[in-house]
Amino acid sequence: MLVDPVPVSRRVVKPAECVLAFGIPTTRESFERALTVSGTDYAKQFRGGWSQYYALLAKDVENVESPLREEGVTIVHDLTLEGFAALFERPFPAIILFSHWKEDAVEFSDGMASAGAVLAAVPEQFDGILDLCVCHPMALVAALHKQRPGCLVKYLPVEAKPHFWMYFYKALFLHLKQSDVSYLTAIQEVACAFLDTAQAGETLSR
Amino acid sequence: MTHTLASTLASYLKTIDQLEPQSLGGRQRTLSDQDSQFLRASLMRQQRFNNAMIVVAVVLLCALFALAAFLLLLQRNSVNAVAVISGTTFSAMLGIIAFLRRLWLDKSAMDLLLFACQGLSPSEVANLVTSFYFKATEPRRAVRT
Repeated sequence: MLVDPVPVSRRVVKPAECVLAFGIPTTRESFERALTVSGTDYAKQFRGGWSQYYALLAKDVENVESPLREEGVTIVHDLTLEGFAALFERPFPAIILFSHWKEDAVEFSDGMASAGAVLAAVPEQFDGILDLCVCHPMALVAALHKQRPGCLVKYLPVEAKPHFWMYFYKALFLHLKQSDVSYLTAIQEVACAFLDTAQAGETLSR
Repeated sequence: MTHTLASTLASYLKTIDQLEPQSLGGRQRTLSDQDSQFLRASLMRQQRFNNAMIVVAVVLLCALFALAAFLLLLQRNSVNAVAVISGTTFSAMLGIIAFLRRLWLDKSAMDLLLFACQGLSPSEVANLVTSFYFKATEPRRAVRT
């Protein structure tokens, strides 16, 4: 494997070098399968079935997917734990895991995987960014920090609404396409832009 | 489904955390009888309002019919006047009947949901209302399968 001399924290990253992988269902077929798989949790929290899931989540995934594919982002649906491990075979500098966290486990399309199992899927030599778009995965983050020192982990210490993050990533990849910045800088700049917009909205509403 | 019934159901869905997508680390809220009672009270309030609206619409329909009959008798020698009065009355009646039909559909849905509140567990009521709300309010569209 070729090693880039510039660390990923300072390397310019383009959308085509990133992968966005969904562990939660994004299609009707995967949603209905998730209802039957024991251990999966996220789809079962939607009491109104597919019509509710589509209106509140899958529609946003559809809206965001086409522009992201046009930017060159690799999108993976129905991610299994095995599929997650396979993502590290091609050295993407940034891997975004978009999924659900429950009781120290991450949801994949084939069931929940413990923090230890997810850690085992990340190669020891991986020196890219693992962007965990799952809520408060503190056990996994602690294990990654300790046992995968080369891996930079971005995580959410609070609960996150998926529709917000879908549009956040849309803005992030647009920013990465338009600017020659690192992934971490792009996250910081887009987050600041979102906060400024939110504050401007609050000021206007007063 | 009318906007008012949709608002009533939306306020219930908001209280049971089903109006917005679940967070990526949250747990499903536990439901209680109080949730069903909240829905029942909201639906009964809405039903009283709709019943009053039905009475108003029927009275309006009768009054319009009587007024049209009176004007037609008064202007029976003028073909133009008869045509204008008949056309206007027919259009207005169609509008009122369409409004009544929507109220009637809402009334049927509310009767069903009120009955469900009495006989089903809070969890089953939540499943029913959530399915009904999202199927009834979302426009028909081709969805990816």
